[in-house]
Amino acid sequence: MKVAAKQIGAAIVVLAAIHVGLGLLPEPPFTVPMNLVLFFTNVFVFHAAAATLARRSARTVGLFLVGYFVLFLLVLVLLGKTPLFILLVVAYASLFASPVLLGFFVIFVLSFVLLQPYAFETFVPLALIYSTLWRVRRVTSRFVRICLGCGLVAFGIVLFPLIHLAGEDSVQTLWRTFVRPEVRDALWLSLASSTLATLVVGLWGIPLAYALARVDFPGKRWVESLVDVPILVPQSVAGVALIVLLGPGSILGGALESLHLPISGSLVGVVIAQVFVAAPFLIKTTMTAFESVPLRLELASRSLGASPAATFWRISLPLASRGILVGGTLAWARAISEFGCIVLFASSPVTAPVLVHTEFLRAGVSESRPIAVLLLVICLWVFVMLQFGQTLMPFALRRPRRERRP
Amino acid sequence: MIEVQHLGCGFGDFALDDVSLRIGKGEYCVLLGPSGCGKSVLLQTIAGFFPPTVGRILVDGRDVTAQAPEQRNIGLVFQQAALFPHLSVRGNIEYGLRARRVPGVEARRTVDELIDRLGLGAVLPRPVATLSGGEAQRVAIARALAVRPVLLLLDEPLSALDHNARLELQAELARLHKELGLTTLHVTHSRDEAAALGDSLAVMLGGRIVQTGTLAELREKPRCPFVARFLGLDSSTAVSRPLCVAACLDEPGCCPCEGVDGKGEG
Repeated sequence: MKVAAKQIGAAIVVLAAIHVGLGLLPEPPFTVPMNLVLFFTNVFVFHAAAATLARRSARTVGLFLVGYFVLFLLVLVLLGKTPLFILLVVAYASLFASPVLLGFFVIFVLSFVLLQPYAFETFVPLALIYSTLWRVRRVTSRFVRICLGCGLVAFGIVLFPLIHLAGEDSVQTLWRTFVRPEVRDALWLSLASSTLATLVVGLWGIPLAYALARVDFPGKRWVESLVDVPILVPQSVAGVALIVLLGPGSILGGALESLHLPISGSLVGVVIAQVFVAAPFLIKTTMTAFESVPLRLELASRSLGASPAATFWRISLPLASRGILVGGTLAWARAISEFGCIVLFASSPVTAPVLVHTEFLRAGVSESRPIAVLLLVICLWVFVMLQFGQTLMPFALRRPRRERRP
Repeated sequence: MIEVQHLGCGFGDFALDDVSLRIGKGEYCVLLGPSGCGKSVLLQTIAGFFPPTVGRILVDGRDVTAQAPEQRNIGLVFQQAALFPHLSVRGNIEYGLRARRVPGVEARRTVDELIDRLGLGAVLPRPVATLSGGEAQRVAIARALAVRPVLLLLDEPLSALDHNARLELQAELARLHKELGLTTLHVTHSRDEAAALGDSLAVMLGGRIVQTGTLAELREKPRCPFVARFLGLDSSTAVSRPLCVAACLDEPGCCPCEGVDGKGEG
């Protein structure tokens, strides 16, 4: 639809009439200068719209008007913020031509106008989700996009408490908390013990996983199920079980204590508790990784003169390394997040999750929150680093080339 | 010289039953048979991956039946090249030499010579995962040859290739055998490959070797209708009945050969 000069003139006259009408009302909603500003804003919006919508269908023009009306209702009528309305409506008219920018604009309005207290926490994830969906719009069906969008938004809601928590404390508060010796000790202990626990699990878990992936024996299914038992057992139950076996009053615990090897109350106790809960994650993932290494590669290696052990080191282990690292990351994450079992069995030395709990009991949420944030940030950082590390590992199966639609 | 004596093993659906085979030094033997007849099991038993329940395997008069695969020095090439995806092309070829701790200079000379011989210079810098089927299979052959095996086992090496690559690699195999004179056992279900490559043929059915001999001998006197049909002979060719019954006495569907499809797919 072509907008002629005559029509533009007519539209401006109509706009002017509306604003004069508003000004002449018995109780004018705007002061005269504000009314004037609004008038010029509307002229600009109309002009921008006329330029960008000149060749669009009537439906697009309708959508533009609906968007304008929604902004009008939301910001001007509901919130009564005239300057904000002017700003947003000018931005709206300028961005309407580009769908991707318009999407970000909608998210911006949603986050910063409607969800003002959580503006930043909602804007960043929503913008990321939107840009992801925008990027895959050509290569996926609408159904997959809807699944992806809804799933990501729901998942964002699940993670929202953490995202919100991470932004709660100022950097200064965090630093003041971090330099407290008991906090630093607890964080160091948590990092060290969960790393140690992961290494211990790896030491016996990787050989076990390899054997389970390569040998069939009667009862193998049972062994595989038993590996999962620590996931199923409630943490407090595991804690009680360890106390009964290794606690100060028990036979084994007493014997070790008389040898000056106390289990509970030492780093060893923490590591034992973490090994118990972390083992299944590493073993299961590693087993899958070894199963994905084709058997004929191992046969080829052996026919070339490599012993079974050499084949394991040169072929199976490198090709499963990515999966092993994934399993190690999961095990590490599980170990550092362990609370219930440790608080019962090895409550001293204090690990970071236990410290968050005791500080909460002692001084309430304001004292434990910065420690929680510190732990969260450190865990996320390590997790991201390990995830990145996986991409550097070789991969056993040839990944199918992504087919691109013309 | 390779001798397989009265070999038998049961392994699920695949079984070997009293298999005897003799491959002379430098001979190119083609083992021909339909899918599921036990060809691959026989090959993997010779390579050492399945222990036989009865029988012996002799390499140059030495009994290797009890040896582990890595001690036998028998090269093996699979249908899919089974290259190690985390190693380079050169790393793949020299893998066996490294596993045997061959000194670096000597290993490099051997690998360079094989790269020349198989014309692999162009694919050296490429990641293994990007090689075409024919290129990957050449690398796999070079890898198996690098350790100077006493016997080369080829398990349907051409079956996964497209027509042109198959003809090319078939010519390559013939040339390599002529140059190196390596004792070779080549398993296939294609009689064209058998005719083009084999000094001698062994026809297998249902876990047994039905007949051995040169192509001419088998054409002349196929032992049973199955062999005749599998070699693509006219059904009017004379088949000596009594021998046939002796060869596959209780093999259902072999004699008289109704129900046996000689053109099985791999």
